[in-house]
Amino acid sequence: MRLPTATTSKPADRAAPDKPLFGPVRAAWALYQLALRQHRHGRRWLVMLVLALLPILIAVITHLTETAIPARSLEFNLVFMLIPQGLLPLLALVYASGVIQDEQEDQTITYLLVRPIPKWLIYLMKWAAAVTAAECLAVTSIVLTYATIYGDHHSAVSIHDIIYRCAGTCGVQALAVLAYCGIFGLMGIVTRRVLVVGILYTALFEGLFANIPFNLRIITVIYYARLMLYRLMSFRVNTGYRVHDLAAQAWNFTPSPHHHLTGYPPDWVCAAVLFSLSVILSAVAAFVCNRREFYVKTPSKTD
Amino acid sequence: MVDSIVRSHEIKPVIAFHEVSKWYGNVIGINKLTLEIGPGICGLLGPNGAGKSTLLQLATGQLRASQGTVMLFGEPAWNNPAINLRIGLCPEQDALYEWMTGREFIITCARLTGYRQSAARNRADELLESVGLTAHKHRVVRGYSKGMRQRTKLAQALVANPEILFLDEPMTGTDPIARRHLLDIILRLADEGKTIVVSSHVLYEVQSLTQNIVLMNRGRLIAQGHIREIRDLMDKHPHRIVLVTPQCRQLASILMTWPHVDGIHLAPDNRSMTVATRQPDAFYAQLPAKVVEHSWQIDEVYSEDDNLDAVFHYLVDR
Repeated sequence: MRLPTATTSKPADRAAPDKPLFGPVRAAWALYQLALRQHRHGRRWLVMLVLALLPILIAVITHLTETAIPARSLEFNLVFMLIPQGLLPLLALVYASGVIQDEQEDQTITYLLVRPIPKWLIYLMKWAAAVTAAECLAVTSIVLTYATIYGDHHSAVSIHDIIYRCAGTCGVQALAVLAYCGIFGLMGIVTRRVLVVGILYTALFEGLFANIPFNLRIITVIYYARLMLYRLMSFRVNTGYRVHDLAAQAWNFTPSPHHHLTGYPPDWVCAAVLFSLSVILSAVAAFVCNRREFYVKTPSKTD
Repeated sequence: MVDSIVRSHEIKPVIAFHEVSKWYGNVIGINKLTLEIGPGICGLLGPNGAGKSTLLQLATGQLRASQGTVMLFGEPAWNNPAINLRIGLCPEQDALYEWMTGREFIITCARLTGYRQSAARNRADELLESVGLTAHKHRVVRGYSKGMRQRTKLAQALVANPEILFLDEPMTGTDPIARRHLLDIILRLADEGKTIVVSSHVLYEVQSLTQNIVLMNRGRLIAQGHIREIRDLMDKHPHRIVLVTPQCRQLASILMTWPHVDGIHLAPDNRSMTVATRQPDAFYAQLPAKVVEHSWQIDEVYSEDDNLDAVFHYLVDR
């Protein structure tokens, strides 16, 4: 017996469809803008904003309750300890890990996958938007924290010095955020339990390994950021009795014959490590993304 | 019986599945499916879990076949973003970017397709007009009714003016008026020459759109073609012809003596009977003469097997 295919409906004379000229750049830019707008919606944005404002709140409370604490000590504890060890990895984890997973969970990824945009480009554009969002919050947090700490007119530190330290910190921490986004972006592509894995990574690598005085810390992001900061600015505080090098103590940067911190690895290597780590990991993630399927659960029928 | 179907190659298929299987771990989504779909409307039917959505996701390049090939216009569907300019998908899931207005959503989809901002605006207005959402285009999608959401999803599927349109359960959850509206839009798009694949588990929705169907169950192709021709394939299963008559018992006793009548089922109210026959043509040829000869009063005659529901249940439950 013979059955026709489903072809018997009249194929009407098909006018040449009015196709948009495929502009990958335009589409990619539209995707970047969409991803940025997505970051501005929802509760996550508010939670992240509150977290980013936490160092400022602590600085305000400290100012109000504790007048004897030197500004540089407060700066060190907030800008060089709390922010890079707590806030920055968290910002990067939350934003970069959800690059694709968020769309998948929201079931909106279909609207991206059926567009003439390659999946690797979808990943990169959304990752770029995640980096932008994380960087904006990180820089805002650092700048406002500096403003709060040194906003006091009685501060002995010159405005020039404050701007220098703030700009240097922003630059170095921005590089660290970029590297974190590369790491967590890849994690978000290869595992569904990215938040758990990311927190474990942060605690183990950036928390434990980075703070022990062994060469193991060269596999952490924070080590390179600290090295650059340590060379860039002074962390010495005069307590009246003696001069403390806060960074050297807290980061185990005590000079010794085995530690050539003043020369090795040089700043450009540190910057290159962080930057290239980010580039390589995001390229790997884009490659994996391009080969991966993104299954969207279909709802149960109710009819 | 109907798994192997001889296909017509008079019209070159635009969608071709060849020996396609898709597994999700140990679960089979699609099982060795070979299928060709040409221009026009094609209804994709099957119960929940039949593999309809998987088939559409394979066709739109969202999923990669575990085995076999899926081709659109002779090109592979998987990882071929350029082909997305020629297809549109109205997905089953209800998700949209909830914080956008309907117009913003369509503009975004148009821009993701490569339109310039101004062209995207124009295209969005045009599409929203065509699906009847102009009055609501500035409302946030979150507040849309189910019917409005379905129309929004349909509009986004049309941004690239696709040649093939995949509609995954487009009528699910809509009220009768919205259904009618969606049906009209789909029929109009078919008249414009688009190839439309409509998946549904609600039989009458598809029946009102097309007689050309693909039946699936448990990931397998059960049958494909015109519903009546599919029915003809089921030669082991007799046709059922319903006679509505006040003389049920009298007629039944006579019809039972006809050689091509296999059985008769009387309705409980004695107002109609269902005749089972393997030779419907002979039955239909003989019936009018006998009606005149014996002055039977028959108010209505229809074949229950022209109803998609009967075919579907027969094929799926067999």
